[in-house]
Amino acid sequence: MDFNQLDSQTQALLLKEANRRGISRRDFLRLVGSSAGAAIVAYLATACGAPPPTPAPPPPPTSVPAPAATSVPPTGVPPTAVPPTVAPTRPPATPTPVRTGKLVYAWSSPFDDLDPNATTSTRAGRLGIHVIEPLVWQPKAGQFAPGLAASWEASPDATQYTFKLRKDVKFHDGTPFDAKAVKFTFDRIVDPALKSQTALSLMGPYKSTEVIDDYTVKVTFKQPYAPFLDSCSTPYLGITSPAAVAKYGKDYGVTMIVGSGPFILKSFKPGSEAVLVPNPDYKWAPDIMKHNGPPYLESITWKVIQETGTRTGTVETGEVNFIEDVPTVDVKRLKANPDIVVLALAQGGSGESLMMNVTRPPTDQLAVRRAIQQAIDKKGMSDAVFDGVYPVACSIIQPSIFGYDPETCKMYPYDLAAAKKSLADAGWVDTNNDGIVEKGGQPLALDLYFRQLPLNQSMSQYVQNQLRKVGINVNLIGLERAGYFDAVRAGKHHLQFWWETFTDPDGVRIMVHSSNAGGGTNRNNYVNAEMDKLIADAAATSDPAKRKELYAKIQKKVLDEAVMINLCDDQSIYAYRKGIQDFAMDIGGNYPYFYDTFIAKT
Amino acid sequence: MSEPANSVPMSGRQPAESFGATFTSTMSARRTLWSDAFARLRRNHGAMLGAAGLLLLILVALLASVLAPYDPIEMVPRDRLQSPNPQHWLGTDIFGRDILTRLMYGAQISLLVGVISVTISILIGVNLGLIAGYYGGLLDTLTMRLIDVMLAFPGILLALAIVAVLGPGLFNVMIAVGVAAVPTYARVVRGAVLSVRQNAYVDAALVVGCKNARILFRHVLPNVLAPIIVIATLRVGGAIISGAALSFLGMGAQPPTPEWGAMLTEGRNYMRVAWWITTFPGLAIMVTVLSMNLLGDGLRDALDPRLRV
Amino acid sequence: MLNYIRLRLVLAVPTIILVTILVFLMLYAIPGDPASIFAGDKPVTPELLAQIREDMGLNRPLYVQYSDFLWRALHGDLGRSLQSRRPVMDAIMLALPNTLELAVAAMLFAIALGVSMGVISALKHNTWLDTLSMLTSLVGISMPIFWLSLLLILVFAVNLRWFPSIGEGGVDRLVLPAAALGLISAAPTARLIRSSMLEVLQQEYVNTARAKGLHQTTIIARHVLKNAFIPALTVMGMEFGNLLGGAVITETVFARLGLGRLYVEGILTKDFPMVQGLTLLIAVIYVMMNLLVDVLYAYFDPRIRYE
Repeated sequence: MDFNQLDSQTQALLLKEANRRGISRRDFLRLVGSSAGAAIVAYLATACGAPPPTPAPPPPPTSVPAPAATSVPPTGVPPTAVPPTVAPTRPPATPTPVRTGKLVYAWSSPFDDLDPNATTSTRAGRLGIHVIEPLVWQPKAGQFAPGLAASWEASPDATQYTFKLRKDVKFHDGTPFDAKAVKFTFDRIVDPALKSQTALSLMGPYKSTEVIDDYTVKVTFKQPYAPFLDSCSTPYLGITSPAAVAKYGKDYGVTMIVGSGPFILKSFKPGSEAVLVPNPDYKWAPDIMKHNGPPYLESITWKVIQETGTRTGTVETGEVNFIEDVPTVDVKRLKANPDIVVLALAQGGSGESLMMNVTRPPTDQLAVRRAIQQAIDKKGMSDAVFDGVYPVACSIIQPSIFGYDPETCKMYPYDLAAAKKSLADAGWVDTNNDGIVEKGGQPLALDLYFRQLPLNQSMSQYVQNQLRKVGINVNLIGLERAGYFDAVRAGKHHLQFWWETFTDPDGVRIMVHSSNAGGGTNRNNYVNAEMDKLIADAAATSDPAKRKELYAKIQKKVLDEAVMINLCDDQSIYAYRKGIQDFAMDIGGNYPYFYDTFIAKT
Repeated sequence: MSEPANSVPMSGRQPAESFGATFTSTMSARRTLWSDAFARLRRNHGAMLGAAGLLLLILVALLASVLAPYDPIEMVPRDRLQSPNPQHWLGTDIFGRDILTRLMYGAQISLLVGVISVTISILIGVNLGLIAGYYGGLLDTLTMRLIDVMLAFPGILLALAIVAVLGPGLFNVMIAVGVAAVPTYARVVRGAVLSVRQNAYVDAALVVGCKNARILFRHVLPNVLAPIIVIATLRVGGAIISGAALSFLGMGAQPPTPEWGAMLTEGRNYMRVAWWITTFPGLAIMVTVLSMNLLGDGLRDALDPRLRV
Repeated sequence: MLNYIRLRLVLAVPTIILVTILVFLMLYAIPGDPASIFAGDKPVTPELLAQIREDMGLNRPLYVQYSDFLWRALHGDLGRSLQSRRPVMDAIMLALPNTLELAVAAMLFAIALGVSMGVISALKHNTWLDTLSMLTSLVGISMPIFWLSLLLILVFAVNLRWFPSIGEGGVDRLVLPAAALGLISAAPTARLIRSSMLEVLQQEYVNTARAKGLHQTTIIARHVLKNAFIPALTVMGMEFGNLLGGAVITETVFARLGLGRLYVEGILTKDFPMVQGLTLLIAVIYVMMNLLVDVLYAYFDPRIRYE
């Protein structure tokens, strides 16, 4: 192509690209004029981007893929390096308009700890993954692609994982990424001084990391741990710069984080705003990404906007171009807006549920729990509280997670008569005609503790209303954090709400494993040796069919024993301005990734 | 808290505006004063409007169960989010409950919150002010220090802290709002007492041998009554708003109580699709508080001796 | 005058200390464990919880915790927030300018609106203009501020798109929240200006000035306003405190980072260092404001010098 035939904008662009690569302006012009010039120009043009953007539909599907679990290799298989699922095609040498844009993202709640290795906040994870990269990526459930790790091998019993790392990676502070950094990160996560929670639980039965050579590490576990690669694909096990942690000390994670990612953290005002700028040296993009080199975006600004009305308002006015946690009531209106795209994804994990304290009477009686199970009209709740947007939940895990058993939908359906019968059969009768049943002179009254959040207020009122129909009196106790956590950890509640995000079904242990009872996350306080064994077996086995079978047993057991009631399956609902192109999303619908993103003029 | 805190002038600052100064304590003069004031009140259109509003509110609150067309708590899912129409004059909320009905029942609660919290404020504040103003000396200084300390805080934060300690719930809200307003009352009463105390008849009573307590309650208090009435009326509105604000911050009445502030908060996420859920409770609060303010203003003008023709 | 100021400053110190002690005790009285709140709904072992509690310094006796705070505060160290682990001073420094600019803007708005309404009312005493403006100001006081804020956002930000609805930094983001706060504060100012002006207008010296042939405007500017301002000053001093309180809610609705929100968060999570630091700051500001008002008062009205 002839340089002079290009338009001036493209000429300037090519010149800029050349300068970026270290070719001076004089040299560039000389080269362009020479016979090699055309080739040079063509070569430079390839770096400027892919073919001109066409108004592309949003990448991930909005519908939940049917649980085609048989075709997906589950995480139990000793994973090997999967060849890149997307063959990178270097774009032809046609000039393209500049890809850029300033992304403004609105978080729905504030958080304090920015350090992905320590934080408990999903939102911190959303920012973190752009700054601190993971070892592997998980483009499809159970399929892994290289990230900072170029290849890996797991021992057949899933107790040892060996990673061969990329050699061309540098942290933002200039220090090189190597095996020592991986060891440092993992050891730091399990160090009690860090008080890590999410990352720590993802590390499982971690024993140690061994540095084999500069770019090889071996991670060893005390017991078989099949979910480890899934853990490595989360933002929480991203690899941090050891030098930065040493430099910032106590302030690391409070004001600054440093990784190897395509974006650098420029500033962070907790509770308010954070700004990311591109990393100009970034050239180790995973092959599953659409391009290599620095990101297109000029900056990503993250703002905290808790008021739902305000938040949706900002995407409608364009002040913000990407928002998360769109309230269900606004979905219809936003969908009708031609400038906005609404993305509703099944949120990997366990949906909105009602946990029942099985150690506190009267919820310690199966009959009472069964009655509650069948007295709640889940479809009604979905319509009333979630505007029909969230689907009804059947099982403790959501349909998008491997191992989901659709048979659970047939078990213990909504049936007021059956609920009343359960109570009556157990001796609960309304003797004084006040609408509440009694037994032995005691009325059936339950305490529902919830945190003061608008959603909880609606859900609790609905539950109270439904249970009243079968004669159960529910006391609503909405507390602020200070009082709430103390009360529920001490087990003062009969009922409380829960939801959980995870991508591997091993996440059920958070809610029903005995180790988490008595003040932990198993607010059912459910302690059952058989359940513990089922969970342990499922995490240890490599056979996908066996895993599926075990998880089916677990789901049925939860329902048979009425441990907790899953009400509606959450969706992660995002809304963004049309023109935002090419962002990726993890399989759980939780972590949008803006590396390839640019904003087209519409 | 948004409240007309200044409506009664601060004591000791404007020498011309102390209520007690021109009162005399003879029985006949008092009678004339009150009836005089009442007549003036009647002539004040604004105050009458306010009184009418208050009366309407009380009526609705008392007769809610008779007047209301629906049940305030029962959920009717198929009627959810209806805009105002002939069956539901003010529309329905997300559970299909009639807003008008809930507003009526909510009137009971708002009145209760206003009255009880003001009562608490009076019980504590007036006594504090009386003691401080009358006895003077160390007691006075200590009390005023305490008042200053409490005033070194935005009232809503104080109320929030108190509710956090006591736990959420209507009754605790009343206590919190009541206690948080004590400094204002104490200050005003103290100022009024200070000016009354200077009067000759107090010294006369002392000379005659009346006990302090008796003087306080028989002579001082009645003359201090006027500013108390005025500020109490004006503050009921503020108390209602503060109660609603606490609900807004999540510390107020528990659902499904139809407290106006809680209703407003519930509707806040639905403002774009169902503006009526937030607007009508807000209007109800505004009208109620407006009535109280009009009435209070009228009372203040009526009881202010300087405007006497 | 200087003695007076010195005396007030000296008296202020025990007041401030008393405030911090009371707040500390109150915070302690709130049911809940900051370590438990920190852990939230995430997986945590009892050992880890105990460790967190130990690190937060919550196992020390109360008087030690308090005196430690006081000692360090005197050296300018307000400690680290229990929840965010960020130095309290940093958090305050970030939030303070936003709240200050909001309070000042609201105050200016209130003064501008209040004074003009008050003056007009007083001059056009007993006409329909008077009634209208007084009614408007009454309506202003009667509105719950969170309702007003929501309405302003709905009308001006979302529907008319005149202003952004959220955030801090820049004059355009200040308009709506300052308007909400200011509208509510304008009312008492207007009423007070009106009544004090009315009072002054009736005074002898005004008639004298008129008799002397001075122009109406000159009379107002030179004599009336100055004297009418005195009681207004007290009000405005108190209003500043109310503004800080109103700022709590405004900051929440308009998603602004500010002291009010920090305070509420601190109370709700029992974040002792944060709340103590903020209390200290607010108490100091309040005392200074009161002192300023009193001094200005004494300056304007020579009849009132010492309490």
